Amino acid sequence: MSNRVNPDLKKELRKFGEGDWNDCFNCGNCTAICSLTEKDILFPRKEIRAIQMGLKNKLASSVGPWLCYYCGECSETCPRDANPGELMMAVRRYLTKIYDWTGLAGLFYRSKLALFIGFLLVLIAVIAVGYVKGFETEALMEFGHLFEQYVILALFTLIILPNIFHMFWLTIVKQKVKAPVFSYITGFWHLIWNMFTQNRSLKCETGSFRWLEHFLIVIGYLLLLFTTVFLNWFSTENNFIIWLGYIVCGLVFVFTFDFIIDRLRKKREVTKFSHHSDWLFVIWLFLLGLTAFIVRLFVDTNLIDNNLWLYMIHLIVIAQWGILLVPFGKWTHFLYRSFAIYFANLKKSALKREGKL
Amino acid sequence: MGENERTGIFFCINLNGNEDVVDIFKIAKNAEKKPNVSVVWYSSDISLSDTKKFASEIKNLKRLIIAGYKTGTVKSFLTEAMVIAGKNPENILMADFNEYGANTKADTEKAKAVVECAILGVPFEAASVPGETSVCTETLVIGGGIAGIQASLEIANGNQKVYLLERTGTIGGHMAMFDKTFPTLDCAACILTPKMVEVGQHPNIELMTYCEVKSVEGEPGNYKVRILKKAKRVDISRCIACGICSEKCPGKAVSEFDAGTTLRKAIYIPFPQAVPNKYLIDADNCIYVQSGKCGICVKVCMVDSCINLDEKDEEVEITVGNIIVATGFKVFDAKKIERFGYGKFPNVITSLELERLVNAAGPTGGNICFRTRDKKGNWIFSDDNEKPKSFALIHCIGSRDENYNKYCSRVCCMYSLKLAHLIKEKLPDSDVFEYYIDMRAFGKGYEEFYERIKEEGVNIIRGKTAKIEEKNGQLLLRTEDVINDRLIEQKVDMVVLAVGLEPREDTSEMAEMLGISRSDDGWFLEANSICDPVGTYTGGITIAGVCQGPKDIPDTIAQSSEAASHVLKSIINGKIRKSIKDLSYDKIVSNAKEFSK
Amino acid sequence: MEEKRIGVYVCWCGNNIALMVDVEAVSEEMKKLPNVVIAKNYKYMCSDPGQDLIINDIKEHNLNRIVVAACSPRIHELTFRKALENAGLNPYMFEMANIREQVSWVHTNREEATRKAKSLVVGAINKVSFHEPLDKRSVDIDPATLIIGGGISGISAALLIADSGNKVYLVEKTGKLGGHTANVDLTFPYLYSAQQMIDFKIKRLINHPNIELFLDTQIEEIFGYVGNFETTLKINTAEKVELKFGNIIVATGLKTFDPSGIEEYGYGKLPDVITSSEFEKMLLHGKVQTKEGKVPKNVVIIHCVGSRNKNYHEYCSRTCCMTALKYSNQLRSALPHSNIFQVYADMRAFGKGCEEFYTQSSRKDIMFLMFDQQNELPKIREAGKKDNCNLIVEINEKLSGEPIEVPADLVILMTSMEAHEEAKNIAHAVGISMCGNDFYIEKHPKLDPVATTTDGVYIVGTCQGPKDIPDSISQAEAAAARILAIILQGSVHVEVTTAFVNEEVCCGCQTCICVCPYTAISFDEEKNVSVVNEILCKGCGTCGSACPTGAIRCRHFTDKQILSQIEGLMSITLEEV
Repeated sequence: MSNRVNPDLKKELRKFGEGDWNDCFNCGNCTAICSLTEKDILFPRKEIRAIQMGLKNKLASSVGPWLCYYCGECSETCPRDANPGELMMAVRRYLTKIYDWTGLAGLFYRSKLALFIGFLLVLIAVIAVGYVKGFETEALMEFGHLFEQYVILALFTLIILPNIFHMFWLTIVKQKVKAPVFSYITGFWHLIWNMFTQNRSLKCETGSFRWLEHFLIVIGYLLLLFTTVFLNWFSTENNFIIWLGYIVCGLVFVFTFDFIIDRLRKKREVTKFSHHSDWLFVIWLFLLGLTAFIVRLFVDTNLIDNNLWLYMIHLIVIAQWGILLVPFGKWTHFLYRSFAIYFANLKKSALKREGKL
Repeated sequence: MGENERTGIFFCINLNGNEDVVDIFKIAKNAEKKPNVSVVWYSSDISLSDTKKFASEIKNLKRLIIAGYKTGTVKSFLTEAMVIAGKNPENILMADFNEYGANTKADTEKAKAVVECAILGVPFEAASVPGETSVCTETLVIGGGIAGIQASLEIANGNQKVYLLERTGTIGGHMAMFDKTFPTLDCAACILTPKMVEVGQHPNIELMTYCEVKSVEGEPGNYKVRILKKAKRVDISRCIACGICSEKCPGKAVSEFDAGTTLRKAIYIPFPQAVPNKYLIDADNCIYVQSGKCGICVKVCMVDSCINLDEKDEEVEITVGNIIVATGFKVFDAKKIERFGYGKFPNVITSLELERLVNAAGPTGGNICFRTRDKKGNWIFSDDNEKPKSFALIHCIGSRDENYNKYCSRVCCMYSLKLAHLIKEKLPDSDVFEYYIDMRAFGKGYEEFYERIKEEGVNIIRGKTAKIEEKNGQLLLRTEDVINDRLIEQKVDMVVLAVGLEPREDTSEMAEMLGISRSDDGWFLEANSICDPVGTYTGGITIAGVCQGPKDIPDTIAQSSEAASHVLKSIINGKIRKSIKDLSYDKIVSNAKEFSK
Repeated sequence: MEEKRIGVYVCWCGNNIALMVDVEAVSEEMKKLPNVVIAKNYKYMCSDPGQDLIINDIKEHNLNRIVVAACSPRIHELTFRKALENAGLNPYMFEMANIREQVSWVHTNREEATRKAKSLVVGAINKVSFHEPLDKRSVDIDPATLIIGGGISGISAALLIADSGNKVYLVEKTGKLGGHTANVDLTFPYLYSAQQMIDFKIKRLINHPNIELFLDTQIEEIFGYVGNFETTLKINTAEKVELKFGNIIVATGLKTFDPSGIEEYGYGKLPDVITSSEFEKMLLHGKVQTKEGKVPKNVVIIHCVGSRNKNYHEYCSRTCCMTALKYSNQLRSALPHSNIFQVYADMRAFGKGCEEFYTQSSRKDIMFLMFDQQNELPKIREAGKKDNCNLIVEINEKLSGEPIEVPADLVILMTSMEAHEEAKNIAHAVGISMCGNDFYIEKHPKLDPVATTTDGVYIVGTCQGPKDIPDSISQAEAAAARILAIILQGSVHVEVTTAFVNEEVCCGCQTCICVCPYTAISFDEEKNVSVVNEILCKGCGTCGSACPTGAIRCRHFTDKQILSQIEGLMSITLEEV
């Protein structure tokens, strides 16, 4: 049974980002110029082609888009100015929508209004909680701490794990990829290593400083999560933890600030166009770091009791981040990218096993 | 047209972000006042996705005029609407501004006339006929490539005097540099040199080599052209082309004819079959001219007072009735695309360099060999080394690329196939790879040639090579084989870049001097892309060959003869049309009224 | 008989010859030969001093035959013939030995090369001894021109020649002018109106005082030669008109390919599979619809139908790609909500503005699908009930590597251009030849695309090979240039080295008539001998070599001349190099 073409898929994809799928005339320059393409896993042309023809299943089964770190070389050299780099960005958003069983990711990518309403609802909810708790510092901070723990747990079990399994289903199971069992295990260490270092992006020609900045933000963010959620940074008396918290907070907001400036300047291919999800991601991460930093500063200077509004802001930022941006926004790219490498390696092992490689 | 022929005008405002366009609203307001015109629309106000709705708006009309830019993009919409409204679709008239050269704001009056003609139901071509004036029977042809040669011969064979002006020391142009021509594999020199000799010996052709146009004044039929005769420093009526001067000359320069693959002397003959077959001195590289010391050529020359090293440039003025511009092209500078490493890796060469390399009269006597450094550090093709064993030809270098030239250069696919054949012919055991985007084998016998090359064992792969790196002394190409869905990392010994064609650097200067226009892609603009590809809006000036847009030799020949036909027509009639660009709105409209009677 | 006094001149060609050939030795050797009065060598014989040398010697030594050993006669034979003329000698008392292309440029052993040069020169001396003076002949030109075909090419040529004040007879087989262009709505790549363009030209043509128009007219055989042709026209298969004219332009145009033979496409069986010319009519009449009268939702355009495929035509039809893109634009305009599919092989957007047109057209949400036009033609079948469309096109798509199905309500086949069915008759009537695929053969595919091997007969437009409107017009006006030049000259020189028949020896077998490529030989029934038309004859010599009795021979290449030349060549022993 052959595939039926679908001219409407490209129209749908247009809602997920900039660039025109029509521009590509399939010369293959983008695939060949990319430092990350390998003989067995080709992108971005193949994905663009799948979209042009409306081969939705083919697109959904593809891990290629996640392997791209958007150095922008393909866009700079594209003979038809089709901007494959940005098109891959849109494909990643679209794939996020496909993987997400709730449908919210797709909604928030396409509709700024829906996203605004979501943010507003969270804001009202947090204020309502404050009201219920009588706007009392200690109670609120305790609530905040618990809230963070529950949200993380809920996200993982209800959203992220099912979505990653969905991705696994689409890319491996449905495609009947038969990788040897040991490759599942050996690949796992790769997965963890890639997740934290994102070292594949070093192969891109964007320079190692960008990678370092990105790396420090990832490390800063994860440590911040750890110190606040599991070490209860805001309430701890341990000097080491306090200082660690300050440092990781600083890392997060200083470097995200640089990312924001970079997006404003629009000098590099990556930053020439910014989707609203890109803006929200960097700005909220920045706010997250900044508000956490100031809250702890106010705690240390005993000003927090009289400035509870500050903690409220932090809580709102955290809640919006945790409930909306992490599960349904750009944050998931961090996981999907790492799993894509894992799945790609499985595919490669399967090919090797079949003797096709 | 009768008074009761109710007419509607649909204005297409397709500006594409371009601001320097005619003032459509002004024209529309003017048109609205005309007695027949009952309604005016702007494309920006109309939903172009609802034919039925628009059909209801034209129920009371008899005729519909589509005016403005890109009128063709709405024609079918309006035709459908006319039919739905029960009207005869033949009553649609198109008045496209671009078609008649009303491109910029300055052309607003002309565009107004275009619309007015349509309202009167008169073809614009019939109304925009400038008056006639007497014509001087002599003709100037600028450019001595195959286009100029052909045009000159056609006119001269009609017993008319032609000045053939050529910038370099010989006629022949790019064609003389080619080894063989596609698809028949005729040797280019064998078919070209007889024509060159014919030009050189033709009693009606005055050959002016090493000359440039300084200025053009006057009007159609009577142009005064000032020509700079650059000092050749060799008296060509005395030179017997023995070559001893060149043999002894210590000054060296890069050989233009060999596409820079070798050196020539400062006193030189561009190539052995040059016409005129005489030497000349390249002042920039002549030691005497530059430093006042040397003069060896004068001492060895066996003809009295043949070489005059102190000769100065001079200017002459000629009067001509017609000018044919056949200035040709330059090849794309492959250095502009750094990722292909031209200029960095010695064995990444251009197609033009390969043409010289495979040519028996070329720098290596027709041997394809590696480019290496000589003792002085110059890159040279040296015959002593072993031969390259694998080749890659990359199409569309600088063409079909938004970053460089958007247009297709029309000849590269075919010449690349030909070069692949020549490589296979010289080195039958070599591997040849060709990377293309679309194989444009469109001419007579071209597709058959493509099939033949495939059968010869050339690997033809669809995919644009993205980059070239050097690895272990070989060149590594990275390409996606689009059709077979794989990434190819191919190592080869030599890469040939199929460079596209570009307008020459002096194109804008020339256009200004002659009062003609250029199209968006930089080539000279024809009067009408469909039915007058050689005419211009300036009377007595025609364009021929690649300077109007890339084309192959047979198409160039046809166009050159076409240009000559316009010249001969004016000479036979003794009269020539003045410039269309000088026609006023009033004149066009009065012509149109005259015509409609 | 007059005494033979031969002058021999050996050219150095700078170092080109002198380095590999001992020119001094060659000229010295020639002095020893009988009848050679003088033998010299010089740096550049073609230079003015070189030519003067010959002229002075002719006068001084009363020479009556000249041999120059230099480069190829293609380059300088004319130069030296002129020099002979200037000296008052018949230009045909001259022979050239090519010791550059045939000796110095292709050999590496100087001694052997010198010997070979000697043998060539001796051959030339032997041959020139038997040369006879030949007189230049010319014929007057009738300024009228016959144009066969009233399409865009014929019209353009007619207008240009007529505008120059010369008579034109335009013959059109049908009752309508404009040919295929008259059925076209818009042109590519700028989508200008083809109708308005051709209408204006036709109007001008009909009212032109210098053009005589013959509609519904057939050409019978054409007699004569360049400058003086004549024929009888048959109008409406009844009335006959006799015409005289000096030149002929053949512009018989094309015929479109009939796709019913391609089984995969089901043309003729599936009502909504139509050809490009049928679709063009829909566009002109503003009725783009299916056979049932419905608005098609999905339109599939298939390229290369009958082109680029060895089962049909191997050649590319040159215009279909751009026409197909034009259709996409017009479909997008006529049916804004439709899905448009282009099924193509290579997108041949080569003309000025065409690549840009391709880029702009792609932005209109058109799906481009690539197929292998040679081996895997798409299959069109009727759609099932659930498919929500009329037809399904199955394609093995090359750019994705996927076998796919495309829904279609209307399928447009971009049919190829073919030579006209009457091309053969016309070719016979005017005496021109056709290549394997029935298009007419030009004199030279590169340098002379509009002339034919028959002087005074030109081929323009699509009868020479597929091409678009501007290229057809270019060719038409190019042919017009050639004709105007000849008219300006008033007469043309004709070949003098022609064939001639020794009537006493001719046995009347007519072999020569069969082999002559210029139809220059006819048969005299009364005398039972062949007769050469010396104006049509190009002196190619084919008849001479085919003649079983040796009755037909070529001037300047008689048996005596050639055999003595061979004798001369053999007189010097050469070692195999």
